[in-house]
Amino acid sequence: MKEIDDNEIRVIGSADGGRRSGWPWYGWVAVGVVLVVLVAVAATVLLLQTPGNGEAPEPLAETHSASQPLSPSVTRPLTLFDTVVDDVPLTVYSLDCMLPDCPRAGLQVGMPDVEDTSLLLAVMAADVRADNGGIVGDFVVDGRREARGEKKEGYCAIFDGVPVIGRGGEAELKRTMDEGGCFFRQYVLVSDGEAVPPKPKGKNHRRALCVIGHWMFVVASADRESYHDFATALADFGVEDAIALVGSESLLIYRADGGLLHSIGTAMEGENVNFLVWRR
Amino acid sequence: MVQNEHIVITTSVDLLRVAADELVYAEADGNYTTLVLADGDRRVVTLQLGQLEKLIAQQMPGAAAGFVRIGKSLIVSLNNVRYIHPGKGMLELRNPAGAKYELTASREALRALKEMMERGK
Repeated sequence: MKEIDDNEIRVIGSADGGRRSGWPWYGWVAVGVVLVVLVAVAATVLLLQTPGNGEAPEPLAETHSASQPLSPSVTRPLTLFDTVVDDVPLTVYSLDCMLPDCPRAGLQVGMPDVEDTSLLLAVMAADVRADNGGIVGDFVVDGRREARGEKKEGYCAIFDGVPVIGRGGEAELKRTMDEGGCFFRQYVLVSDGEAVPPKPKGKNHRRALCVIGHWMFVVASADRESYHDFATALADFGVEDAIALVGSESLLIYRADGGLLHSIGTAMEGENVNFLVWRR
Repeated sequence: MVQNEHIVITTSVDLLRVAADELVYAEADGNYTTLVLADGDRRVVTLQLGQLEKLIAQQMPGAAAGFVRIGKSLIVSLNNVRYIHPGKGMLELRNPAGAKYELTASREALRALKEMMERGK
Protein backbone atom coordinates (compact mmCIF):
# COMPACT_ATOMS: atom_id res chain seq x y z
CA MET A 1 0.00 0.00 0.00
CA LYS A 2 1.55 3.28 -1.11
CA GLU A 3 1.88 6.14 1.29
CA ILE A 4 -0.69 8.87 0.94
CA ASP A 5 -0.37 12.56 1.59
CA ASP A 6 -2.92 14.57 3.56
CA ASN A 7 -3.76 16.44 0.37
CA GLU A 8 -4.53 13.32 -1.65
CA ILE A 9 -7.37 10.89 -1.99
CA ARG A 10 -7.55 7.44 -3.53
CA VAL A 11 -10.34 5.05 -4.31
CA ILE A 12 -9.67 1.82 -2.46
CA GLY A 13 -8.83 -1.17 -4.58
CA SER A 14 -8.53 0.67 -7.89
CA ALA A 15 -5.80 -0.68 -10.17
CA ASP A 16 -3.85 2.55 -10.34
CA GLY A 17 -4.50 3.36 -6.71
CA GLY A 18 -7.08 5.90 -7.86
CA ARG A 19 -4.77 8.49 -6.47
CA ARG A 20 -5.65 12.09 -7.02
CA SER A 21 -4.06 15.17 -5.75
CA GLY A 22 -6.03 18.29 -5.16
CA TRP A 23 -2.82 20.27 -5.35
CA PRO A 24 -2.08 21.33 -8.93
CA TRP A 25 1.41 22.11 -10.23
CA TYR A 26 0.78 25.83 -10.11
CA GLY A 27 -0.02 25.45 -6.41
CA TRP A 28 3.53 24.26 -5.77
CA VAL A 29 4.88 27.16 -7.83
CA ALA A 30 2.84 29.57 -5.70
CA VAL A 31 4.10 27.94 -2.50
CA GLY A 32 7.67 28.26 -3.76
CA VAL A 33 7.23 31.96 -4.48
CA VAL A 34 5.67 32.57 -1.05
CA LEU A 35 8.48 30.67 0.67
CA VAL A 36 11.14 32.70 -1.12
CA VAL A 37 9.40 35.93 -0.09
CA LEU A 38 9.05 34.74 3.53
CA VAL A 39 12.72 33.74 3.73
CA ALA A 40 13.74 37.12 2.33
CA VAL A 41 11.55 38.99 4.83
CA ALA A 42 12.77 36.86 7.74
CA ALA A 43 16.41 37.40 6.76
CA THR A 44 15.85 41.15 6.54
CA VAL A 45 14.21 41.27 9.98
CA LEU A 46 17.00 39.21 11.54
CA LEU A 47 19.68 41.42 10.03
CA LEU A 48 18.01 44.57 11.29
CA GLN A 49 17.57 43.23 14.84
CA THR A 50 20.38 43.99 17.23
CA PRO A 51 21.28 41.30 19.76
CA GLY A 52 19.65 41.74 23.14
CA ASN A 53 17.03 43.99 21.67
CA GLY A 54 14.44 41.27 21.46
CA GLU A 55 11.08 41.77 23.03
CA ALA A 56 10.10 39.70 25.98
CA PRO A 57 7.83 36.83 25.03
CA GLU A 58 4.16 37.55 25.31
CA PRO A 59 2.54 36.22 28.45
CA LEU A 60 0.44 33.11 28.11
CA ALA A 61 -3.16 33.59 27.26
CA GLU A 62 -5.14 34.08 30.42
CA THR A 63 -7.08 30.92 30.74
CA HIS A 64 -6.52 29.52 34.17
CA SER A 65 -4.46 30.51 37.14
CA ALA A 66 -2.22 27.58 37.84
CA SER A 67 -1.24 28.92 41.25
CA GLN A 68 -4.81 29.24 42.35
CA PRO A 69 -5.35 26.49 44.93
CA LEU A 70 -8.11 24.03 44.36
CA SER A 71 -10.93 24.32 46.80
CA PRO A 72 -10.48 21.48 49.24
CA SER A 73 -13.27 19.00 49.40
CA VAL A 74 -13.63 15.81 51.33
CA THR A 75 -17.03 14.93 49.99
CA ARG A 76 -16.29 15.27 46.30
CA PRO A 77 -14.12 12.47 44.93
CA LEU A 78 -13.23 14.21 41.73
CA THR A 79 -13.78 17.58 40.11
CA LEU A 80 -14.71 17.97 36.48
CA PHE A 81 -14.67 21.25 34.67
CA ASP A 82 -14.68 22.40 31.08
CA THR A 83 -12.58 25.15 29.64
CA VAL A 84 -11.57 26.42 26.22
CA VAL A 85 -7.97 27.28 25.42
CA ASP A 86 -6.92 28.49 21.97
CA ASP A 87 -10.36 27.46 20.68
CA VAL A 88 -9.72 23.91 21.91
CA PRO A 89 -12.50 22.74 24.29
CA LEU A 90 -11.04 20.71 27.14
CA THR A 91 -12.46 18.71 30.02
CA VAL A 92 -10.32 18.48 33.16
CA TYR A 93 -10.62 15.49 35.52
CA SER A 94 -8.99 16.54 38.73
CA LEU A 95 -8.63 14.62 41.96
CA ASP A 96 -9.04 17.20 44.69
CA CYS A 97 -5.56 16.93 46.10
CA MET A 98 -1.97 17.97 45.71
CA LEU A 99 0.84 15.47 45.22
CA PRO A 100 2.01 13.50 47.08
CA ASP A 101 -1.12 13.62 49.27
CA CYS A 102 -3.44 12.11 46.71
CA PRO A 103 -5.37 8.89 46.27
CA ARG A 104 -3.04 6.06 45.31
CA ALA A 105 -2.35 5.53 41.63
CA GLY A 106 -1.52 2.23 40.02
CA LEU A 107 -1.13 0.57 36.66
CA GLN A 108 -3.02 -2.54 35.66
CA VAL A 109 -3.44 -4.77 32.66
CA GLY A 110 -7.05 -5.62 32.00
CA MET A 111 -10.29 -3.81 32.61
CA PRO A 112 -10.84 -1.98 35.91
CA ASP A 113 -13.24 -3.62 38.33
CA VAL A 114 -16.30 -1.40 38.28
CA GLU A 115 -17.56 -3.12 41.45
CA ASP A 116 -14.53 -1.75 43.30
CA THR A 117 -15.96 1.01 45.49
CA SER A 118 -12.50 2.55 45.96
CA LEU A 119 -12.12 3.25 42.23
CA LEU A 120 -12.01 7.00 41.49
CA LEU A 121 -10.55 7.42 38.03
CA ALA A 122 -9.28 5.04 35.34
CA VAL A 123 -7.84 5.99 31.97
CA MET A 124 -6.16 3.88 29.34
CA ALA A 125 -2.41 4.35 29.69
CA ALA A 126 0.01 2.77 27.20
CA ASP A 127 -0.79 2.13 23.55
CA VAL A 128 -1.22 -1.39 22.25
CA ARG A 129 0.51 -2.42 19.05
CA ALA A 130 -1.60 -2.85 15.95
CA ASP A 131 0.32 -5.85 14.62
CA ASN A 132 0.75 -8.18 17.57
CA GLY A 133 -1.32 -6.69 20.35
CA GLY A 134 1.74 -6.04 22.51
CA ILE A 135 2.14 -3.02 24.75
CA VAL A 136 4.08 -0.15 23.18
CA GLY A 137 7.18 0.89 25.10
CA ASP A 138 8.64 0.05 28.49
CA PHE A 139 5.90 -1.20 30.78
CA VAL A 140 6.31 -2.27 34.40
CA VAL A 141 3.56 -3.40 36.75
CA ASP A 142 4.44 -3.89 40.43
CA GLY A 143 8.11 -4.27 39.56
CA ARG A 144 7.53 -6.80 36.75
CA ARG A 145 8.68 -5.67 33.33
CA GLU A 146 6.01 -6.60 30.79
CA ALA A 147 7.31 -4.78 27.69
CA ARG A 148 10.35 -2.93 26.39
CA GLY A 149 10.87 0.04 24.11
CA GLU A 150 12.07 3.61 24.32
CA LYS A 151 10.64 5.04 21.12
CA LYS A 152 8.15 7.13 23.04
CA GLU A 153 10.17 9.45 25.17
CA GLY A 154 7.53 10.38 27.71
CA TYR A 155 7.01 8.30 30.79
CA CYS A 156 4.89 7.92 33.90
CA ALA A 157 6.49 6.17 36.85
CA ILE A 158 4.60 5.31 40.03
CA PHE A 159 6.32 4.82 43.38
CA ASP A 160 4.22 3.92 46.40
CA GLY A 161 1.11 5.06 44.58
CA VAL A 162 2.53 8.47 43.67
CA PRO A 163 2.94 9.12 39.94
CA VAL A 164 5.62 11.26 38.31
CA ILE A 165 5.83 12.13 34.63
CA GLY A 166 8.59 13.43 32.40
CA ARG A 167 10.79 12.57 29.44
CA GLY A 168 13.58 10.03 29.36
CA GLY A 169 13.04 8.19 32.60
CA GLU A 170 15.77 5.53 32.39
CA ALA A 171 16.60 5.94 36.10
CA GLU A 172 12.91 5.87 37.05
CA LEU A 173 12.40 2.74 34.96
CA LYS A 174 15.16 0.94 36.84
CA ARG A 175 13.85 2.20 40.15
CA THR A 176 10.33 0.93 39.49
CA MET A 177 11.75 -2.53 38.79
CA ASP A 178 13.87 -2.40 41.94
CA GLU A 179 11.14 -1.08 44.20
CA GLY A 180 8.03 -2.78 42.85
CA GLY A 181 6.68 0.34 41.14
CA CYS A 182 4.91 0.88 37.84
CA PHE A 183 6.04 2.50 34.58
CA PHE A 184 4.68 3.14 31.11
CA ARG A 185 5.69 5.19 28.10
CA GLN A 186 3.73 7.62 25.98
CA TYR A 187 4.33 10.64 23.77
CA VAL A 188 5.57 13.81 25.42
CA LEU A 189 3.09 16.63 24.82
CA VAL A 190 4.45 19.39 27.04
CA SER A 191 7.89 19.65 28.61
CA ASP A 192 8.93 22.47 30.93
CA GLY A 193 5.95 24.52 29.78
CA GLU A 194 6.71 24.14 26.08
CA ALA A 195 4.45 22.26 23.70
CA VAL A 196 6.20 19.26 22.12
CA PRO A 197 3.67 17.89 19.63
CA PRO A 198 4.36 14.29 18.59
CA LYS A 199 4.74 13.40 14.92
CA PRO A 200 1.53 11.45 14.19
CA LYS A 201 -0.87 13.54 12.13
CA GLY A 202 -4.60 13.54 11.97
CA LYS A 203 -7.29 14.61 14.37
CA ASN A 204 -8.87 12.59 17.10
CA HIS A 205 -10.05 12.86 20.67
CA ARG A 206 -6.93 13.41 22.76
CA ARG A 207 -6.14 12.76 26.40
CA ALA A 208 -3.20 13.73 28.54
CA LEU A 209 -1.79 13.32 32.03
CA CYS A 210 -0.70 16.78 33.12
CA VAL A 211 1.19 18.43 35.93
CA ILE A 212 1.19 21.99 37.19
CA GLY A 213 3.35 22.20 40.29
CA HIS A 214 1.95 19.57 42.67
CA TRP A 215 -1.36 19.35 40.83
CA MET A 216 -1.76 16.28 38.61
CA PHE A 217 -4.83 15.88 36.46
CA VAL A 218 -6.19 14.28 33.31
CA VAL A 219 -7.32 16.41 30.38
CA ALA A 220 -9.50 15.24 27.50
CA SER A 221 -10.28 17.16 24.36
CA ALA A 222 -14.00 17.51 23.69
CA ASP A 223 -13.49 17.56 19.94
CA ARG A 224 -11.13 15.84 17.58
CA GLU A 225 -7.85 17.72 17.69
CA SER A 226 -4.42 17.39 16.14
CA TYR A 227 -1.59 16.67 18.55
CA HIS A 228 -0.22 20.08 17.69
CA ASP A 229 -3.36 21.98 18.69
CA PHE A 230 -3.90 19.83 21.79
CA ALA A 231 -0.32 20.17 23.05
CA THR A 232 -0.33 23.90 22.37
CA ALA A 233 -3.60 24.33 24.27
CA LEU A 234 -2.19 22.43 27.25
CA ALA A 235 0.94 24.59 27.29
CA ASP A 236 -1.17 27.75 27.05
CA PHE A 237 -3.37 26.42 29.86
CA GLY A 238 -0.27 26.59 32.02
CA VAL A 239 0.64 22.90 32.03
CA GLU A 240 4.29 22.38 32.89
CA ASP A 241 4.61 18.74 31.83
CA ALA A 242 2.20 16.44 30.04
CA ILE A 243 2.30 13.05 28.39
CA ALA A 244 -0.34 11.59 26.12
CA LEU A 245 -2.77 8.92 27.21
CA VAL A 246 -4.70 6.64 24.89
CA GLY A 247 -7.28 8.84 23.19
CA SER A 248 -9.82 8.23 20.46
CA GLU A 249 -12.93 6.50 21.82
CA SER A 250 -11.01 4.61 24.49
CA LEU A 251 -12.59 3.99 27.87
CA LEU A 252 -12.36 6.50 30.72
CA ILE A 253 -14.11 5.79 34.02
CA TYR A 254 -14.62 8.33 36.79
CA ARG A 255 -16.57 8.54 40.01
CA ALA A 256 -18.82 11.58 40.06
CA ASP A 257 -20.65 13.42 42.78
CA GLY A 258 -22.96 11.03 44.55
CA GLY A 259 -20.50 8.21 44.20
CA LEU A 260 -21.74 6.82 40.91
CA LEU A 261 -19.25 5.61 38.33
CA HIS A 262 -19.52 7.14 34.89
CA SER A 263 -17.78 5.97 31.76
CA ILE A 264 -16.83 7.66 28.52
CA GLY A 265 -15.80 5.83 25.38
CA THR A 266 -15.85 2.16 24.67
CA ALA A 267 -13.98 -0.76 26.12
CA MET A 268 -11.20 -1.88 23.83
CA GLU A 269 -10.76 -5.63 23.65
CA GLY A 270 -7.36 -7.23 23.92
CA GLU A 271 -5.33 -8.97 26.54
CA ASN A 272 -2.92 -6.05 26.94
CA VAL A 273 -5.39 -3.21 27.31
CA ASN A 274 -4.06 -1.34 30.32
CA PHE A 275 -5.21 1.40 32.67
CA LEU A 276 -3.80 4.04 34.95
CA VAL A 277 -6.09 3.83 37.96
CA TRP A 278 -6.56 5.98 41.03
CA ARG A 279 -8.21 4.52 44.11
CA ARG A 280 -9.12 6.20 47.33
CA MET B 1 -22.32 -2.19 -3.77
CA VAL B 2 -21.76 -5.94 -3.78
CA GLN B 3 -23.87 -7.63 -1.15
CA ASN B 4 -22.58 -10.03 1.49
CA GLU B 5 -19.05 -8.72 1.49
CA HIS B 6 -17.55 -8.17 4.91
CA ILE B 7 -14.32 -7.23 6.52
CA VAL B 8 -13.37 -9.46 9.40
CA ILE B 9 -10.94 -8.10 11.99
CA THR B 10 -9.66 -10.62 14.47
CA THR B 11 -7.38 -10.47 17.48
CA SER B 12 -6.37 -13.23 19.85
CA VAL B 13 -9.47 -12.56 21.93
CA ASP B 14 -12.22 -11.28 19.66
CA LEU B 15 -13.59 -10.90 16.15
CA LEU B 16 -15.33 -7.98 14.49
CA ARG B 17 -17.30 -8.50 11.29
CA VAL B 18 -18.54 -5.47 9.38
CA ALA B 19 -20.57 -5.53 6.17
CA ALA B 20 -19.64 -3.17 3.37
CA ASP B 21 -22.82 -1.18 3.67
CA GLU B 22 -22.43 -0.87 7.46
CA LEU B 23 -19.18 1.07 7.40
CA VAL B 24 -19.85 4.82 7.26
CA TYR B 25 -16.28 5.94 7.83
CA ALA B 26 -13.07 5.07 9.62
CA GLU B 27 -10.74 7.49 11.33
CA ALA B 28 -7.10 6.97 12.25
CA ASP B 29 -5.45 7.66 15.57
CA GLY B 30 -1.89 6.38 15.38
CA ASN B 31 -1.97 2.65 15.93
CA TYR B 32 -5.74 2.65 16.31
CA THR B 33 -8.65 3.16 13.98
CA THR B 34 -12.21 4.01 14.93
CA LEU B 35 -14.87 2.44 12.73
CA VAL B 36 -18.16 4.32 12.69
CA LEU B 37 -21.00 2.07 11.62
CA ALA B 38 -24.40 2.70 10.11
CA ASP B 39 -26.25 1.93 13.33
CA GLY B 40 -24.19 4.54 15.19
CA ASP B 41 -21.94 1.94 16.80
CA ARG B 42 -18.29 2.97 17.12
CA ARG B 43 -15.60 0.34 17.30
CA VAL B 44 -11.97 1.00 18.08
CA VAL B 45 -9.64 -1.56 16.55
CA THR B 46 -5.92 -2.01 16.92
CA LEU B 47 -5.26 -1.52 13.23
CA GLN B 48 -3.57 1.35 11.49
CA LEU B 49 -5.70 2.97 8.81
CA GLY B 50 -3.42 1.66 6.05
CA GLN B 51 -3.95 -1.88 7.34
CA LEU B 52 -7.72 -1.37 7.30
CA GLU B 53 -7.50 -0.02 3.76
CA LYS B 54 -5.64 -3.18 2.76
CA LEU B 55 -8.27 -5.37 4.45
CA ILE B 56 -11.07 -3.58 2.60
CA ALA B 57 -9.29 -4.06 -0.72
CA GLN B 58 -8.62 -7.76 -0.02
CA GLN B 59 -11.79 -8.84 1.73
CA MET B 60 -14.35 -6.69 -0.07
CA PRO B 61 -13.01 -6.53 -3.65
CA GLY B 62 -16.42 -5.77 -5.10
CA ALA B 63 -17.33 -3.06 -2.63
CA ALA B 64 -13.90 -1.52 -2.13
CA ALA B 65 -14.41 1.04 -4.89
CA GLY B 66 -17.22 2.46 -2.81
CA PHE B 67 -14.69 3.66 -0.26
CA VAL B 68 -12.16 6.40 -0.60
CA ARG B 69 -9.07 7.06 1.48
CA ILE B 70 -8.81 10.78 2.28
CA GLY B 71 -5.34 11.76 3.40
CA LYS B 72 -3.70 9.98 6.30
CA SER B 73 -6.70 10.01 8.61
CA LEU B 74 -9.93 8.99 6.90
CA ILE B 75 -11.63 6.29 4.91
CA VAL B 76 -15.20 7.19 3.99
CA SER B 77 -18.03 5.40 2.25
CA LEU B 78 -18.93 7.36 -0.88
CA ASN B 79 -22.55 6.29 -0.50
CA ASN B 80 -22.75 8.28 2.72
CA VAL B 81 -21.24 11.53 1.49
CA ARG B 82 -23.86 14.24 1.84
CA TYR B 83 -21.98 17.53 1.59
CA ILE B 84 -18.48 18.68 0.68
CA HIS B 85 -17.17 22.20 1.21
CA PRO B 86 -13.48 22.26 0.32
CA GLY B 87 -13.10 25.91 1.28
CA LYS B 88 -14.12 25.17 4.85
CA GLY B 89 -12.38 21.80 4.90
CA MET B 90 -15.77 20.30 5.69
CA LEU B 91 -17.08 16.87 4.79
CA GLU B 92 -20.52 15.81 5.97
CA LEU B 93 -21.67 12.22 5.98
CA ARG B 94 -25.11 10.81 6.70
CA ASN B 95 -25.76 7.25 7.70
CA PRO B 96 -28.89 5.44 6.44
CA ALA B 97 -30.73 6.38 9.64
CA GLY B 98 -30.05 10.06 8.95
CA ALA B 99 -27.38 10.66 11.60
CA LYS B 100 -24.96 13.38 10.61
CA TYR B 101 -21.18 13.20 10.91
CA GLU B 102 -19.14 16.34 10.33
CA LEU B 103 -15.54 15.58 9.46
CA THR B 104 -12.62 17.75 8.53
CA ALA B 105 -9.98 17.10 5.89
CA SER B 106 -7.54 19.16 3.88
CA ARG B 107 -9.03 21.54 1.37
CA GLU B 108 -6.96 20.05 -1.43
CA ALA B 109 -8.13 16.52 -0.67
CA LEU B 110 -11.77 17.62 -0.51
CA ARG B 111 -11.38 19.53 -3.74
CA ALA B 112 -10.14 16.32 -5.35
CA LEU B 113 -13.04 14.36 -3.83
CA LYS B 114 -15.55 16.92 -5.07
CA GLU B 115 -14.11 16.76 -8.58
CA MET B 116 -14.16 12.97 -8.53
CA MET B 117 -17.79 12.86 -7.43
CA GLU B 118 -18.75 15.51 -10.00
CA ARG B 119 -17.41 13.19 -12.64
CA GLY B 120 -19.77 10.55 -11.29
CA LYS B 121 -17.13 8.14 -10.07
